[in-house]
Order: sequence, then structure tokens, then C-alpha cells
Amino acid sequence: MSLLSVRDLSVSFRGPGGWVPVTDRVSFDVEAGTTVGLVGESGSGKTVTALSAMGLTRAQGARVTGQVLFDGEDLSTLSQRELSTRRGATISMIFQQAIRTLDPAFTVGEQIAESVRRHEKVPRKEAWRRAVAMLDRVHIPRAAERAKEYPHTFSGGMSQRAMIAMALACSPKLVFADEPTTALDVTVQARILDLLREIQRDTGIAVVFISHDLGVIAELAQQVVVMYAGQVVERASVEELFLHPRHPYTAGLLNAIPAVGRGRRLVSIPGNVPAPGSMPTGCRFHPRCPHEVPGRCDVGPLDLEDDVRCLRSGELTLLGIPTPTGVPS
Amino acid sequence: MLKLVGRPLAALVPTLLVVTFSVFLLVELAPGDAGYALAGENPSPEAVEAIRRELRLDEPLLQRYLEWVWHALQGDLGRSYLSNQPVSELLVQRLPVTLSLGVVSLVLAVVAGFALGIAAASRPGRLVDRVVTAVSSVMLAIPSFWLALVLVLIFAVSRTIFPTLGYAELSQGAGDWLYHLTLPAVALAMNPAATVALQLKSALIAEEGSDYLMAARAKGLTASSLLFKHALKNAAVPVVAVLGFRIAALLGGTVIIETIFVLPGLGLLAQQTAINQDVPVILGIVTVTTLFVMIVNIIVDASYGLINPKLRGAR
Ligand SMILES: Nc1ncnc2c1ncn2[C@@H]1O[C@H](COP(=O)(O)OP(=O)(O)OP(=O)(O)O)[C@@H](O)[C@H]1O
Ligand code: SF4
Ligand SMILES: [Mg+2]
Repeated sequence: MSLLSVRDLSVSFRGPGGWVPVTDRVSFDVEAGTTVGLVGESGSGKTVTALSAMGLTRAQGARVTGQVLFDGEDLSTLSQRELSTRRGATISMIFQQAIRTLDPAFTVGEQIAESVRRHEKVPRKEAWRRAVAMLDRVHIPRAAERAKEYPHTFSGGMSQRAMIAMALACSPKLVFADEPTTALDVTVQARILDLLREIQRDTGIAVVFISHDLGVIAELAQQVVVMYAGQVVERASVEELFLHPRHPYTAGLLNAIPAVGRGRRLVSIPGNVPAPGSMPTGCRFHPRCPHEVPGRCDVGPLDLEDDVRCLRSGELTLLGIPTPTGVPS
Repeated sequence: MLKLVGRPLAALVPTLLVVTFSVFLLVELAPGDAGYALAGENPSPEAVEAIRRELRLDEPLLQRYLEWVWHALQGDLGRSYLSNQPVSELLVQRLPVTLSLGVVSLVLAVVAGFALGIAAASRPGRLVDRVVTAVSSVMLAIPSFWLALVLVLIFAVSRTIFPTLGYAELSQGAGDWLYHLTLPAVALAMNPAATVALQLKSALIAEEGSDYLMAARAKGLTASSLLFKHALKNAAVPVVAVLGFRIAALLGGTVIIETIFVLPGLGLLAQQTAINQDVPVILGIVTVTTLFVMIVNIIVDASYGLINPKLRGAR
């Protein structure tokens, strides 16, 4: 059995005119110790899916259906109180804007120690010692002193390291990493990815790595889940997905990978992700799809079949790209 | 820490000079003087003139002011024109009453304001929130003297609950002391309590959607530590600033509240001496209250820096 199995997870938020569906029957599995990449353009529902898996959108008042089987139990049936004993302990999350996700009013060390105290009945001193050790673990220099400082004295990269230390302080089995490097510049980004890889190698933690950039995903993940407009449109291993994309949207994302010296022109997909509540009929990608057949693609419901959500996947031959160097094989 | 306190301390002396000199000028410009006030009914011009000479009111303003400053620096604030009592003695008698009233009102305002604000913010849009918001808005609109009069009316009819008159010293028992201060403190605390409640509520709600609370929830914190620890500490920053402004206003309010409840504090003294143009006493009161307000502001600023770490290094 998989460590995490998200099944038919649908989330609606309350809008001015009633419930607005934001994600639709999202399903994917994560095996223990592996990394799954969750990819899609902005607004495709990646963050909502991660938050919902941890029961955090329910806490915001969202309507959530489906199951989240994690570590032998269905998180979707737990109360917020019960969930709070799992969050940060066995399942955790790293956020995009680390600077904004650290509380400005408390020292960095206190925020890590607080998490330790919450889940393990240890004395304050011991929790603080653990916090310092965690900061050291994520390679923050002078960890003992830095622990006593407030988040505003931390740079973007350092806050992200602190955030990682906070999320991993209680050795969870799985962590959602929601675009942890998007807000950082390229060199810092590479170092944070190195850190995540290193931690995964040492601890065997499972990672759901969220990004809009398939290039970054290829560096870390073994499996990829592609989301578009609140739905999963394709699931495959990294190699399969890169060499033989089966969904036109995946092919579009591959074309959009920013890479120097690959000798291909960067082509972004024209158009925008539709807004929740005004989804196109039929295939949600049809207004932007170069392979759309009118009268066929834009009618009727369309399900995920054999890991792809495209009527024409059997007849199309889509162009892949070689997997970037450094892909774990 | 030193930086936070040092600069405002340095500003203390010039501020005091400006304030006391302004009072000197204002009294001079006001019609009539202590000569008339002290000479009794239908005084002869000679009698008035004699009193003036005795009080040295015929000497130039600047000279009298500088003399006052010179003596004040040595701790001598002069004597009351009216009672001939040393001003410092008067102040020492009256200050504890006003301080007691101020402290009790402030504690009441903070406790009530925080309780109401938190209650409203924990269920935004629900009944508690709407009641707190409505009551606070009404409380803000009611002048404190009006509430004081209503309280006097209510409790003067059924006296048994709270006294509406006079003061009992703290040294004679905290119970009696508090008992006498309850109604005046309620009247005085109402406005700042309402301000704190509304400010804290909106500050807490503004924190609600912030990323750091989502992250704190994601690491397993319970709803109560999210609210009472994280959101509250962030929301308290603007509220403490507002409270700081309110302390000066609260002190001003004691004049009328002490008059209504006949509390023998600085406020009541100020009201009496202002009528009689008893300049040394007025100056004494102004000096003490200015000092007090400025010191309170320094404390508020410092505590603001303590709860808002970003300001600690910055100033
Ligand atoms: N709390 C909320 N209330 C209402 N709508 C929301 C809420 N959170 C997200 N949404 C909507 O859900 C959709 C998906 O948002 P989500 O943040 O999951 O996208 P994403 O794939 O993570 O995009 P990004 O790359 O920009 O982070 C968006 O249209 C967003 O506006
Ligand atoms: S179903 Fe049609 S429109 Fe949708 S992705 Fe496939 S080809 Fe394109
Ligand atoms: Mg997102």
C-alpha cells in the first residue's frame, strides 16, 4: 500500500453565488521514500490539493470530498483536533514564501521548538536544543545564535532553510514542498534543491514537490502528476513523461521548460488557465489545445483513463524532450 | 533598548520648558489675574494692587518665568496663592488619587478591551462579534462624563452597591480603595476599552488569512495557540500604539471624572485652581502631568519595540 493515496479529492470554496469547485476528483499515490512532482500552471489547483490533503482547506471553510489515505488512516474523516496531531508530526508542508510563512513576532528557534514541544512531550530546553540542531541540519551557519534571531534578519534562502527545519523537526514521513524555490534566485534555488535531496537521502522522507516548472521537477521526482484547471490530466514516471508525453498540455509544459543551450525555442502555451466556476465544457484544455477537434473535444464529460485525460491520446504522437541531465534513473 | 529610551528622554527638558512657558503666557493673556481672584468681593483697586505687588505680578513675565524655572530645578515649586500651602505638598497629596484612578481605569480598559476584541475576532460575523461591535461603537459615541453622570444617578438612588462620592486610600485597605474607584474607573475606561476592542478585533481578523498562521496550523498548532499566541502577539502591535495615545486622553478625562465623583486628585485640583488663576499650582500640575505623559509614552514606545522585533534594531 502506498504511503499516501489521494483519491477523488474535490474541493469547493464558498463564492458570492454559492460553492465554486476548484479541484475535481484529484487522485495520485506517493510511495514511501519517493518524490512525486505535482506540476501545472498557476491556478491549476496544486496548492489547494496539498492543503486539502492535510485538511487545511477544511479549516478555512472549504467543502472537501474524497479520501486521503495516509499512513494507514483516512485523514479526510479526522476532526481538525485529530488532524493537528498528525500535521507537523507525520505529514508536513513547506511553503513558497518562506519569509511570509515565518511568524515575524517570534524567534526562528522558538518557532521550530514550538513544533517539537507540540508533538513530543519534551522539556523546553530539549526542544530548543532540537531546534538548534535542525537549523544546523539545514546548514544555517552559527545555528545556536541564529535560532535566537527574528525572521526579518533572515535572507530569502535562509528563511526557506529555516522553514524546512520547522517542517521537518519532528521527522515526518511525507512533506509537501509547495514551490519552495520559486521565490528565490537561481543559485539559491539550486542549493535548496540540493538540501532537499540530501535530507531525503538521509531520512527517506517522501516528498510531494509542487512546481510549475517541469525542469525543476525532473531534477527531484520519480513520478509526475500533471494538473490542469483543477484536474489531473496525466500521470507518469519522469522518463515516460519527458520522452513520451501523452497529453497535449504536458507536451506544452515540456516546450516551456527554460533551459540554456538546449537549442530549442521556448514556447509557452498560449492562453490562460480558466477560472474556477467558468470551466470549458468537455476537455477543459480544449480552448488552448493545438490538437482540439471541434464537436468532439468540447462535448461531454471526460475522465482520466489509463493515467491520461485526453480523447485523442491514442491517436496523437506528441513530441517529448530528452530528460535533463541529473535525472535520477 | 538604550536607543529606544534615550532620545525621548532628551526631548523631555525642552518639552517641559515649552509647555510651562505656554501656561505662563496663557495665564498672563487671560482676563483678570490672581489679584482679583484673591481680593474678595468688591475689592478696592488699592487692595488688588497690594496683592499683586505681594505676588510680584507687576514684574516682567520673562523674569518671573525664569525665576520659577530656577526654583523648580531645585525642587521648589512655590506656594499656592490661595492656601499658601507648598505646591509640592499639594501634588504629593493629590497625585496618588489620580494615579490610582488612572491605573485602575487602564487595567480595566485593557482587560475588557482585549476580552471583547478576542471574543469578537474568534467568531467574526457571528452574534458575539455583532454584539461587541455594536456595543463598542455606542461606547465610543458616549462621552465619559455622560456615563459618569448616569452612573451617579443610578448608584445615588440605590447607594448600597457602589459609592459615588469620595476616595479611600490604598493604605487603608485595597478593597475599600477599589470600591471607591470602581464607578469613576468604569466611566473613564469605557472609551479606551471600546477603542481597544475594535482595534484588536480588526487587527486579529487582518492576521487571520496570513501565511504564517497557515504555516503554524500546518505544523500542528491548535486553534487556541494560533489565536492566543501567534495572531495576538502580531495584532497587539498596533493596539499598544493606540493605547499609548489613549493614556494622555485618559489623563485629561480625570479632570471631569474627579469633579463628578468628588475624588480629591490632580484633576479636581486643576479644575479649582484654574478658576482662581493660582499660577504656581497650575504650573505644578502641568509639570507633573507633562512629565507623566512623556514617561508613559517612552514606556509605550519601548514596549512597542519589545513586541515588534523589527523596531528593535531599526531605531
Ligand atoms: N481560499 C480560497 N478561496 C477561494 N478560492 C481559492 C482559495 N484558494 C485557492 N483558490 C482558487 O483555487 C484555484 C487554484 O488555486 P491554487 O492556489 O491551488 O493554484 P496553484 O496551482 O497552487 O497555483 P500557483 O502556481 O499560482 O500557486 C485558483 O483559481 C484560486 O483562485
Ligand atoms: S481532448 Fe482534445 S482538446 Fe483535450 S487535450 Fe485531448 S486533443 Fe486536446
Ligand atoms: Mg500554489
